[in-house]
Amino acid sequence: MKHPFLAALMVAFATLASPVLAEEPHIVFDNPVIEPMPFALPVFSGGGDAAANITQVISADLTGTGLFREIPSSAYISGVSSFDAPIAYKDWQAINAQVLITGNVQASGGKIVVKFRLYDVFTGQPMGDGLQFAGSDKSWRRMAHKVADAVYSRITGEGPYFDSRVLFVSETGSKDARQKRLGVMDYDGANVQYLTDSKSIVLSPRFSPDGSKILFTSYATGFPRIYLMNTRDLSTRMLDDQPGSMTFAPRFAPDGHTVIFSLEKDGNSDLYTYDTNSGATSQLTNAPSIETAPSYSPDGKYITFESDRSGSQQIYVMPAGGGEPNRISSGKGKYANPVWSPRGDYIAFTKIADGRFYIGVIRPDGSDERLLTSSFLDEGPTWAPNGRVIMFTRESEGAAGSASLYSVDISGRNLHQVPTPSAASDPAWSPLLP
Amino acid sequence: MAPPAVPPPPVVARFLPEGPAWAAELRQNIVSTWNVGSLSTTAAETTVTLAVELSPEGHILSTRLVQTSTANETATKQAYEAAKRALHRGLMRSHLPAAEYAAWHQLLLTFDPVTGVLR
Repeated sequence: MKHPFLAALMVAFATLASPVLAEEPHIVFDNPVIEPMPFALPVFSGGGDAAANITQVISADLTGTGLFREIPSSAYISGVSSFDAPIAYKDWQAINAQVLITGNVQASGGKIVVKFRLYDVFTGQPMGDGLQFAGSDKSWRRMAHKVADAVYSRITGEGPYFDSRVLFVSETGSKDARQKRLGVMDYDGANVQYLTDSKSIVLSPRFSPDGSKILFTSYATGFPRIYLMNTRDLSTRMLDDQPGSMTFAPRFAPDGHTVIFSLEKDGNSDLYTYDTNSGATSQLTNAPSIETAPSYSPDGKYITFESDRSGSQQIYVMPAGGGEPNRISSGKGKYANPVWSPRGDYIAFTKIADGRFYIGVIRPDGSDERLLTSSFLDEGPTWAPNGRVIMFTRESEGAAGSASLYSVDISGRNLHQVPTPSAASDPAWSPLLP
Repeated sequence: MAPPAVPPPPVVARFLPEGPAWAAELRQNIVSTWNVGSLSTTAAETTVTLAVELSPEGHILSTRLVQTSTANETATKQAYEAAKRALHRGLMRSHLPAAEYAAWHQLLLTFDPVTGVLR
């Protein structure tokens, strides 16, 4: 079926040759304003705590992107008396609201139904037909995230990401006796759950592409070993236990059953894959240098990884089946932890130069390197499902220093800390929830 | 499949600030409200050209998209909407001279976000 907007575009192109156009005055605008879009979000109708809470989470999601700014309700000239009431566009134009979000929440019998509409205030038009979500009253936060995702995607054109979760390593205790356990939370730090106890050190958690499984590295045996956890029942098993070796830095391939990881044996580490269906293991690299931190391109055709084969840690890209790697990092300093964006356009990395750590992005061909953050210790980037936002670990300096999670837009703007109950490191963003 | 990107149309009467007073005022009012800060990274780099028809009172009778710099349909849509938003806001602030209606009743407007300003 032809998309209506595409059809409109084709009509537009067909009219391009019209002689009328050639006589029209032509005004060219450049140098646009780049600032958060002001929006109005009256508390959803329907009453009760659910309506107020959902409205608050939607507001926090949108303003948290740095792309939107909420107009305080104290500035409102008129309200929205009911979900189907006509919109007084002039009143919203007068307070410079560019979009208006209205909604309604109905709760009964442990279920809630949330519906909303979005209006372009200055063109005086609804933006689409609105949407409705229904579910358990316990999932009210998810429904709020879904509304915010719909608004965000409709206005920005980016994919959604609020309805997602983040794995992380929760850290407690002093720096020389730190206890670590796996945690998982909403992308905004809410609904924290712990998946392991603190008996063994855990590192590098990673979601499977469908979010149903988790890989992580544990020192339960005294040596680093990769484990696979089922998120439904938290059952856990060790992957590919080869005596005399250490396995670490696991990550799923886009196919969801192949795991790529580093295996160290006799002092040398190389990249291997393990098929969780068949149990077959394949060696991808065979070099005397350290090869680690592998990550697949979203189409599964390539792997990026770090290697010191040139004398210092650098980032390489090679075909997924192995082959000659191509070095893509070329700046001053060392590069580590490359992670391919879910939309394939960038690889995020950690950079170490002049005693400072940076989070940056680079094109897969090595062009357009940009550093987004800088601090005493920034490392371990992970991408939001839409490839627009990066979360990472920031560790503060000194004996009392501890790790926290931060996120940043790929423009380098909107750096902020993600709240966690204790120190936290090694974030891994889930795909969008089903 | 989105249509192929094509180069912008020739500028036959490019009214820059030194042009007619109404064009300078309109240009300033529109560009000051043209905000690409909430667009996707692709949309924020997309140039679109709109053909606009205005009433003698300066109200919009019709707008249509005649050009985009990208084959990305979603980015074109967001860039087009941001341009229309700026057009509506800019026209509300402008006083187009009725005596010169023949000159401004149809306009071709190109929004080229090559460079941005931080406020």
